[in-house]
Amino acid sequence: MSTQTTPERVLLQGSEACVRGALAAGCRFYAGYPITPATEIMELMSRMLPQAGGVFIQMEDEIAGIGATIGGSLGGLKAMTATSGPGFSLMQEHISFAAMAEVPCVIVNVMRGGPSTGLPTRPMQGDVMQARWGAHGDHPILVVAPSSAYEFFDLTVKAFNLAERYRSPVIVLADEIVAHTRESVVLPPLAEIEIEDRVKPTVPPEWYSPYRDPGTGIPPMAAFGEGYRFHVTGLMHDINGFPTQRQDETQELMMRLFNKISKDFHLLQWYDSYYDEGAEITVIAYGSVARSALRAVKMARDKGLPVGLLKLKMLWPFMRRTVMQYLESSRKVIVAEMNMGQLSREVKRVNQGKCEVLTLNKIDGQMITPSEILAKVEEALA
Amino acid sequence: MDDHGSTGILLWTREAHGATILPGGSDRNCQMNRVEIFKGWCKKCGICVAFCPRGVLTTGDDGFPKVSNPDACTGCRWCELRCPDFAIVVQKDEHTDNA
Amino acid sequence: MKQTPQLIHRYLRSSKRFPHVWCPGCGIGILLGALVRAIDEGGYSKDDIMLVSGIGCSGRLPVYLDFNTLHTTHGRALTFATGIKLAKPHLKVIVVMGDGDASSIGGNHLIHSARRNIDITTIIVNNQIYGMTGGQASPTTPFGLATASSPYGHLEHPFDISKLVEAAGAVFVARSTVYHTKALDRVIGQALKKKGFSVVEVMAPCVTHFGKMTGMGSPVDMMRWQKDNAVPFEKAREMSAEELQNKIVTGVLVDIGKPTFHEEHARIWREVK
Repeated sequence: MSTQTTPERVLLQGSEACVRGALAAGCRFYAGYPITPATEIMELMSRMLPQAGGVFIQMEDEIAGIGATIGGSLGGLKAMTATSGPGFSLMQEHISFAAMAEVPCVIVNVMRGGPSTGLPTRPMQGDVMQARWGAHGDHPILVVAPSSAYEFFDLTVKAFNLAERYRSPVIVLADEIVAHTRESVVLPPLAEIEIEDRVKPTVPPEWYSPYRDPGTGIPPMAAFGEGYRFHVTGLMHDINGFPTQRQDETQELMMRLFNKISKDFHLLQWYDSYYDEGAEITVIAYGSVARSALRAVKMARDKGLPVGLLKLKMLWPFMRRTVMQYLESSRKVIVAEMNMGQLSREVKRVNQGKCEVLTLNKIDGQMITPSEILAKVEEALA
Repeated sequence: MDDHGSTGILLWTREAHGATILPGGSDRNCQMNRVEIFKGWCKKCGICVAFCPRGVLTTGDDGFPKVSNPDACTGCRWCELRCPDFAIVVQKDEHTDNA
Repeated sequence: MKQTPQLIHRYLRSSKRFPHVWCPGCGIGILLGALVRAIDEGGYSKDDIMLVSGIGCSGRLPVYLDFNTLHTTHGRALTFATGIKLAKPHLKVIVVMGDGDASSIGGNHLIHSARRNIDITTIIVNNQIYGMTGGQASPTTPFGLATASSPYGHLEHPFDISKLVEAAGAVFVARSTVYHTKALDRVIGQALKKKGFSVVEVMAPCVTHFGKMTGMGSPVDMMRWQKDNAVPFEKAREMSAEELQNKIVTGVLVDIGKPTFHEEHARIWREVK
């Protein structure tokens, strides 16, 4: 593992950047199952984690992969797993468990093309809604989406920070292009990377209630095996972690699960914007599509067209207030994504007639090219 | 029926170690081993009665096990071990053990 | 052996409601006692016991005990337990599952945990039926039995769970019944001491459902059936397959040595660091 003290320029595949980010964030546990196009993450973890003193285990399927990941986290280690669509579908029950039991963990989903086995080596962005709503039961979730190898590094670090801060599963929603593209990345010195660790209890074990709200909405988390004997369950539970069906306790737990994240919505507006000065048209994109979009916007500006780009780095919770600003300042927005319109539904939902929302969708397993976006922009301006 | 509430463990302990339970209505001083039944936890499954090797226990009119033949108890503790509900205990007579 | 009140006081969670959730005469209650006695006999610290369960009647067991306890999802207890064991190797990890939990929805995890030889003691409460959901056929339900989900008789043949985990590589496999409680205490104690993946298959009566479906009757009748049909492993070796039909072979069936996953992983740590 790199221990550089100055910025380091390296040629990295997106998957490698993800692994480096995880290790830099303090990830010391990985459990997973091979699946295209996410296998590189697992292979690299199998080599690098033991060198860092961490635990790597290849499990028998993705259900086991995330199960062990949650176990590793309950045992006190920062833990992650990575997969693609079919495996992500299998993991849903345990994502729900992690949300309910408030177990920090990071799940990387490198999206492939199409439903079912689909196009394993081709990109699409079909899991945006699944990442939000795929797991059963009502619960919040955090989803970030990198568009480059550097962002895959950076957002993986931040995904761990979010997981630890909010005691929540966090999904890194990458696509095949981002995971497989090899590009030059400047990695920051390790000391400059901001790392957050879960808050541990300071009270003596006999005073510890594992799910008591300390006021922040996020209870301190003890690890199993460190002298705090407590109960963790996927059942609705009281502040001591014991099952309950009492209405007041159920309501309190559910509201706390939502509020611990919603109270920080203003901190969770992660985006980059480009050329938004005087932009009549704003292209909204995420993942690898944002790369094409940036090129398209540059081309448009070269032609003197008033076009900007809003690149979303956090998909869920949906950045309503950020998107709203662009809906208010633009005449039209174009949501470009490699699906038949998933995030565009959210944009339309918050739009409420403020401006015209256009969509650019592609579902043939090929990337959306800059010229396709440019054509859509020109059409919108015509 | 006894309290089923969360104070069950405390109740058990108080009754088991206190003088409030007189097993089967017999005279405690005459028996070598004391069989105590905590009705608050007993579900009347009948296992202790059926498998007592010496017929110490019978089923009472209320359905709960009853110590009917205390003198026959050898202190084997099979009733205690097989009770699914931690509702019966054999207090071995130390004096008898040493004899 | 400590007296029950002492064990209750030491190991049951005083904040939990008793009597516990299980039906009158349920074998899981007897197992709960056996497990507590075996842990007490083994001299383990309460802080060092990690008890993990899945879903079903057996899934409700850990919450009553004052250890580190985790109630996971249906069939997946072993996956969570694997993660915890690797993160905290000093923990004595015990997984309690039912027959449906362990060999149906969790069958894959069971065989792979055995193959991997992860250092976990697994207790499988086999009552040959799905109890919590109301008496449907499980992978250990006898052929032909009419259940809530096989009203015309069960069309499938049951697993022999002990043989299954033996074939998959478990280093310690024992079977006992809740009727033979002292033997049950003993084999659980042995399984806890064993390094690697150890399995205790506990035959336990489900009075409410299996008893009803089979017409076996009361808890006492079901316990008596266990008494009459258990055959010690040593004796069973001299019996024909025909004679062993509908018998429960009890005792230690497998006891071998093999490096555990964790020992191998620690070796890799030493080599690559």
